[in-house]
Amino acid sequence: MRFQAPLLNCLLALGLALTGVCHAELGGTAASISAEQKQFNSQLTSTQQNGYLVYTQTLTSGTIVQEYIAPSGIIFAISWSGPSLPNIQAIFGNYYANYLSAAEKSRRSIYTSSESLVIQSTGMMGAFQGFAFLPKLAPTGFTVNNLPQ
Amino acid sequence: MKIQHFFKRVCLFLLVLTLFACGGGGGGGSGNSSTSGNTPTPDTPAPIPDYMSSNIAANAISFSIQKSSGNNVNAPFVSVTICQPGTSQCQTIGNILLDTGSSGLRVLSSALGSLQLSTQTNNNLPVLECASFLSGLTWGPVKTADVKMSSEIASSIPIQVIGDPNYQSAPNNNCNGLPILQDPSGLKANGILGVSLRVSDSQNYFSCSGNQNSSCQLITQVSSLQVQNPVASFAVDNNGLVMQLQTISASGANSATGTLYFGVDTQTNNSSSGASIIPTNSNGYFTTTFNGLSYRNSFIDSGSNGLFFPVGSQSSILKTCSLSTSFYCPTTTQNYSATVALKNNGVGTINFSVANADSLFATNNYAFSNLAGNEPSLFDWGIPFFYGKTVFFGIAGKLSTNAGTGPYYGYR
Repeated sequence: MRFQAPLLNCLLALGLALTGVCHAELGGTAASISAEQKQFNSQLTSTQQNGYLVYTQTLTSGTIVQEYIAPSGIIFAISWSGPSLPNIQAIFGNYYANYLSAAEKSRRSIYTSSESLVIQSTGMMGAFQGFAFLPKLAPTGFTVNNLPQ
Repeated sequence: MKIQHFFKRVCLFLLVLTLFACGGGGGGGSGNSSTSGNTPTPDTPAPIPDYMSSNIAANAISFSIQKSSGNNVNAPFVSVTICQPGTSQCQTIGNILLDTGSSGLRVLSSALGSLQLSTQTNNNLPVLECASFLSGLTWGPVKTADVKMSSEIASSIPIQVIGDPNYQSAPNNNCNGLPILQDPSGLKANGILGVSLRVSDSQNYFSCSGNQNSSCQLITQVSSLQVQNPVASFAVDNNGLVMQLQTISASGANSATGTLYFGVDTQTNNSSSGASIIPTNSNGYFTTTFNGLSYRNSFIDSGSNGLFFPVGSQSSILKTCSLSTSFYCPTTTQNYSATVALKNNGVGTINFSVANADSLFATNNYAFSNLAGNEPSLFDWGIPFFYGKTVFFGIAGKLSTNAGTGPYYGYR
């Protein structure tokens, strides 16, 4: 029973960290996309799709980042394509560690898939493409096939 | 007590992960991400000498796939000589990864020894570059150097020097936020020789007024000032390259050697006569058809250690490995074929095998012709494709007599 107190503290601290600064990123909310747009200094447009909203940012580098927003306001998917990678740490947020662990073993084709998270990142220098997807948070009917392959 | 200690550590770890994940990007040490669960590293590993290429011909050097300090499998290494432009002040650096999936030469600052190279400037400020790789970024100054391999010289071309002690942290914006590849453990090499179908690298350039990443501003860099594919800058034999790699047995080999020829159809030793030529789009991608489905955005890449392709209808056979989860682990070795569209409406058939990756990694081998993993949207024809073949790379916009104008791949 001794471990209960540290466990509780841990969860509390973790909870605080989680609710702290992360917003416009996979699993976060659309609320601060304009802040991210400012950080990226990107061109921002949005389009309403059938049952979800897509925010598209065109970065100065020419790379395009898209964020897919469920009616709940949660970002349930992100995708990108372009000559260089967007800031993966910023757009993956709490899932950044998942990207890193999938990237550990392969230099040019990253793929991991579970019931709750799919990450696909590939391409050679000058033409990258990829996405990350949270199936459990997606609107009904949205599958991995709705994302740019 | 031990349990308590454990939870403290788990908590700390989770917190660090969480905080790290929330950061705006940039920074982040390269970490010591070990390769696939292949060979266990001894407690005190004996230093392994860097691989140095031999000159095979005026336009050809050797490359090798072998055990290296980075412990990576199917990684082809060469050595490259870097000089102060127009002088005989040079440094030859071994264990440079030969990578047809990126453009430009990137070398560790520490490997340059006492060699002094001038930094490119923009409005009198030094120019630095953030270049994207899927698992990390390279950050550092763009310097001007002569790059030599055998008798070939690329004179005064921009290269990237990485791990420069003056520039430790990359910008948060316009850089990919991944770990910085800045030491031998992160890079698993002393540098990367990017010899893709592209002439320049199309990455992000900055002018920096100080050593801090906050002092760096994104700039627009014209193609000729970007880090250059050295082959495209050679005085001769500059229209592409050829990689010829030996055949190995199905159980793999401890090492494998090959020859890297510069130029295509420019000398008697780099003829593409009889080769199957695969034209590509401007990004170097083409369509591969497998089990009745077509996958555009496929490519041939010496920087990929396996064949990565969609499992499709083979999911009951090509199971994911229990140890090396990026790879396939069929119970017995499987043989497949895929087709690609060739020049002049031809169709090329490529045969390949997939062995149990966990079994391969349990050997002492570093060269594998049947190592493969899942990539659902395309075919990444990595090093296993190269064994027993001569593979051609035609640089964009450059003509070769038999193969035509790049970008294209070819194989024979």
